[in-house]
Amino acid sequence: MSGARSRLVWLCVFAASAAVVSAQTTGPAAGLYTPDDLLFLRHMIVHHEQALELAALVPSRTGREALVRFARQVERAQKAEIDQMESLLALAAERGMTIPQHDLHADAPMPGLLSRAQMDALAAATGTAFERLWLEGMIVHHEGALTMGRAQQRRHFESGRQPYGIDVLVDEILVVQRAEITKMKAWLTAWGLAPRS
Amino acid sequence: MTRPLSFALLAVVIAASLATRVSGQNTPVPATFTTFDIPFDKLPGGRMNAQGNLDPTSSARDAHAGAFVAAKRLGLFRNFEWVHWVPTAPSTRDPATGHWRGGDLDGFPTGWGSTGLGIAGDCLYWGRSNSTNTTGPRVTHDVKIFKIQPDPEKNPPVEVGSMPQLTVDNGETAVRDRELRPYNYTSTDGVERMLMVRSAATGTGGDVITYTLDPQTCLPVDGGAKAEGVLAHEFYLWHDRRNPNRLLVLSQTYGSQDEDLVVTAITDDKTGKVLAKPLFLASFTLEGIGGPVKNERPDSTGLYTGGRFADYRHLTDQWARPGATQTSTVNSLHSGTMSDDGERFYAAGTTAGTYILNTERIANSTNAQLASGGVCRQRSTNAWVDGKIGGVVDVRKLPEVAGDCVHPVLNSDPGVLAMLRSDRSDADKLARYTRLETRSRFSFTPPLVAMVGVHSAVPIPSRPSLSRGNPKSRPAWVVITEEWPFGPCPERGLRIVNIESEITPMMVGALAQSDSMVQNCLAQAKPPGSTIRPMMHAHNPTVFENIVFVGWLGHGVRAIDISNPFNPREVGHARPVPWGDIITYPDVHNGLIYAGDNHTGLHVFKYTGPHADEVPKNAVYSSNRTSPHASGPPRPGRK
Repeated sequence: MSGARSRLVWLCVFAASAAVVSAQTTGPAAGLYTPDDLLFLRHMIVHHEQALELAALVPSRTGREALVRFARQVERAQKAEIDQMESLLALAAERGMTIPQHDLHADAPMPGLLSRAQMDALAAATGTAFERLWLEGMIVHHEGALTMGRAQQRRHFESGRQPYGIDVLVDEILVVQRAEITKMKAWLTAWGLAPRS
Repeated sequence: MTRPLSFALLAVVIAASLATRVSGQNTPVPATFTTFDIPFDKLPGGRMNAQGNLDPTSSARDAHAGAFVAAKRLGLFRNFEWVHWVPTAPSTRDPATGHWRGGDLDGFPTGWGSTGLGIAGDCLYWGRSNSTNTTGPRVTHDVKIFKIQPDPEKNPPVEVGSMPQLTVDNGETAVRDRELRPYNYTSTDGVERMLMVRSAATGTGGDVITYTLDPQTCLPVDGGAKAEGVLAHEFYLWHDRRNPNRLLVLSQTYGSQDEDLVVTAITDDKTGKVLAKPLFLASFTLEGIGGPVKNERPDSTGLYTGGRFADYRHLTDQWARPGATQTSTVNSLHSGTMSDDGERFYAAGTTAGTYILNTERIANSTNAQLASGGVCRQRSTNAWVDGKIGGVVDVRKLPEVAGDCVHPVLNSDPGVLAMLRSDRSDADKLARYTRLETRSRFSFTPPLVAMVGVHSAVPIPSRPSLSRGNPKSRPAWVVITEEWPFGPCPERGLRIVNIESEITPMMVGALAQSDSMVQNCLAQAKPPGSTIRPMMHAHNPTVFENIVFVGWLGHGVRAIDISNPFNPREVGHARPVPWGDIITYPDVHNGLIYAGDNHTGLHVFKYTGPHADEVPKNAVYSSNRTSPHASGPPRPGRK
């Protein structure tokens, strides 16, 4: 075998090996998530974190046991979901994907996030006023999560994909938060906090 | 459509059905057994031609006929006959490519699709889920109403009506119609009645609705009565055999609300009529009485109260998905079964395991007595110090739990009550109670990874415990299934739990498909044409004395011989194509088995294997409501 020919063979072997290695490392990762999937996870974590902030306000500002229990339930459910989302991001990172960070200024605003002024007003309120503000605020917050979840589901539908873990998680978020909205709306009426029409 | 044309089409369908029925060989059961491994790499994962090969352009007739050809070629039926395939969702044709898609004949891979099935009399109700990620926003599929025909082996069910699908999110999302429980009964005034309970809450946070149905036409006669504040995931429909006017719904909320179980009366127990407003009777919350808290998170080392999970996240399956790992435990109530006498509820408590509830006061009181709160506490006692759930259990409150309308059998066990009321120290009582409480729930999570954990719990009928002191013939065994929707590897199977000591349930037997071993699951091939890996865990079991039919999702329906509960064995399989993602309870009507496939529609099977004689020949039987109940049309002469 001539030197030139030998070099060509080795070049081919090297190229083929590189292709195999590349398929093993990037192939599965590429199929796991898209950048949009990862951005959804990152944004939903930020969204959930505000729900935790909201839940933490409740025990010291109302005497209603049902609301205190509800806030605790929201807190535990959302903490568990944050863990789940962090774990999916960690899996993506382990497989070589770039994990996006939330950019407050560059990213589009998330639906349902309460403004700092709204959060301050909640923190300053107590009793009935707090209960009304909190329920209304959390309903808006949850409805924002539903909007984000449905947008993610639309992306799944349009691409024919079912991204691992996110499919089930989004469904769970939609199920639980719809149910919680139903409950909070019922309380607004039952506790006489809904604005009279 | 003109009438002659309708008849002609019907005749074609019947003829096709007769011509293509797949008969599972009645092979003698071998001396040793194994589960049937589906040849996934050969399975057409989409629409077929008449030869049973993948062909997205084939005609409807060929696609239907080809499925039976492929099933026979691949040996997908054993000890079952595939009697009918009734597609229920239409396909659409892309004019550019000529490809059909989106319908049952295509084996439409709907992801979160699921189906609802319920039979009463000769009426069959068929629900379909839709959601934004599977069918696109604003797509609805009405509940279809079928009439099961005379000579049902020859004649497939015929559609006779529909009920509009409900929506949420301002019409954006359709309710997941997967929980439909019709029931026919004769009230004490001699009137033959029929109702259907529909949970619009599953997946969408809606309501539990009870409709009155006309037993002659199968059609609803009203807009339904809503149970306010009940967000059921699944539910059990219980009919009081001692008072045939009385039907209760036991809703399992699966984390949608504080209460795990909500008991609601849906009929007037004096007349049998459906109540305009369902009546709240009682609820139960496991974490409230000192049980495991919902959504438990591990410590920084991954340790939970119940131990540590196996971790497979470093592995990758054929769909590029990581293996299983678990970041929290649910610990809510998923499903369950009420005993025929109403005194026990067998709870499928997800990661909290399976356990037994004492519902004697529910069974033995009137609705009015219960609703008044006079006979028992309607809601669970909060047994935590200062009411702080997840803190420290208050042993002095624990004896009060026995006064709750619904409470674990442990809490009214005479020995446990005596111990709690003794003069032992509180620390000693708490230590003993905690050990007993932990043993009163059979849980395999951790160590086994299963995000949902125990999915269903159904006692084996007609096999009472022979242990001393069982005057009420309570069962000796419960069949449980385990779930993780679209779960990562490994998959999850079926177990049999001994409950002869009700406060100490203990697993004695198990059966799983080969993908419950992680290496097999990871190697499981993709069917040609498919775009998603369907769910593959054991889902809903219909349980008889010696045989269980399990809707095992992607593995089809499996017949499991449980004559020796220590050693369950698979004795038959029915796996339709192009998919076969069986999610419903396999329901029995007059000897035939009806099952719902998420991706291909309604299927009718006939089981011919061991213990086939246990399949009721003249009744309707389902494990999600009191069974059996009467098949056939209402008797003449009745009001």
